Amino acid sequence: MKRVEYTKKLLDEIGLGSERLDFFHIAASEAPMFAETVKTMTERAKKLGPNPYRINLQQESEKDKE
Amino acid sequence: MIIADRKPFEEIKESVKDYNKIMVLGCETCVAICQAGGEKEAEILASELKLAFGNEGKKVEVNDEIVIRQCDDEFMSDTAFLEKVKEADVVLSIACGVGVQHSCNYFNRIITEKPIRVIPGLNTTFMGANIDVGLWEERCLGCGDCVLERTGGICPITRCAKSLLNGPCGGSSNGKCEINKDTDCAWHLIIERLEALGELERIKPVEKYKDWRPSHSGGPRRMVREDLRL
Amino acid sequence: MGDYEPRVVAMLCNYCAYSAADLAGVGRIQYPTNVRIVYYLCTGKVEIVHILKAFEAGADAIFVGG
Repeated sequence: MKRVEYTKKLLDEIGLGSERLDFFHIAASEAPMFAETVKTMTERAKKLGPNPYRINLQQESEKDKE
Repeated sequence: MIIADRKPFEEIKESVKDYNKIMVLGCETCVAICQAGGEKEAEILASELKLAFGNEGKKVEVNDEIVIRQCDDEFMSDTAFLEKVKEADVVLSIACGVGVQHSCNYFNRIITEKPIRVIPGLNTTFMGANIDVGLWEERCLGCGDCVLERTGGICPITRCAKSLLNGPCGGSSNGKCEINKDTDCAWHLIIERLEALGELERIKPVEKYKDWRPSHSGGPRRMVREDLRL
Repeated sequence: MGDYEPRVVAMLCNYCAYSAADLAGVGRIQYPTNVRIVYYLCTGKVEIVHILKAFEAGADAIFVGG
């Protein structure tokens, strides 16, 4: 968990933003909680928009193709 | 061992921003143990740089490499490795200051085609020990004239804020140093240790002065072992 | 941006969150399909570099579940 916290700090430094990473406690019996977590993270990713690094890479590779 | 701390990411990024091919070079000795410049840290830094530059739409090539020891020629003499060094625009060395200087010197001596740029990714802080998980403390200053035999194995030069040689100053209270309540008074520790050993008389003779000549002053110090020289 | 479907990476521990995900499947609980699961024997093995590499590979959000 501390490692995740540290990595969140790194992500802020990089400029990706720490919201893109999170840690959840999910017990083996908590299937609905798992589904809920996936929903939360998907919503969050939608709100944040695509990973800028990926977008830039795609543009680069498209440029290369041209 | 030598303890180092990673430079702030912003500073590192700023220092390599003009180059397109970066090699992050880790060192597997001291700085790997204090988790500042080992293999893992080299991978992390390389990945961070790739992401950070990619975020800004800048395409850079970042590789990470690792050598056992950057302060020794023989660990860097691998031909394939030197070839990679040659290809890079800049080598970002995450070794201690010794490693940065030595690798730079070595690369420029061996590789004659072009000058090699080596820049540091760490701040070398001190010579210390791992006293607890994730905690390091300075233990030696490299003064060149060890006094530990008189002080029960506790160094007053490094661990006393004033480097006193003849017992504690007036600021020692409850075994702590006056400059910082988290710091133990070195002389308190020394006296306790010598008392336990029954050798308190060791500190009775007054130490008039310390010979600071072997310490750092007047340029780099040098050690020559004639029996090892070729 | 209209067709943006986030890619979420889930790093899951065998004994907790992975079992929960399994149970979610068995229980037919609906959850977004954007998630890609990375299986760990223990989330203690999640390294910082794994997370960063996942972002490099184009993940939009990552969560660690243990």
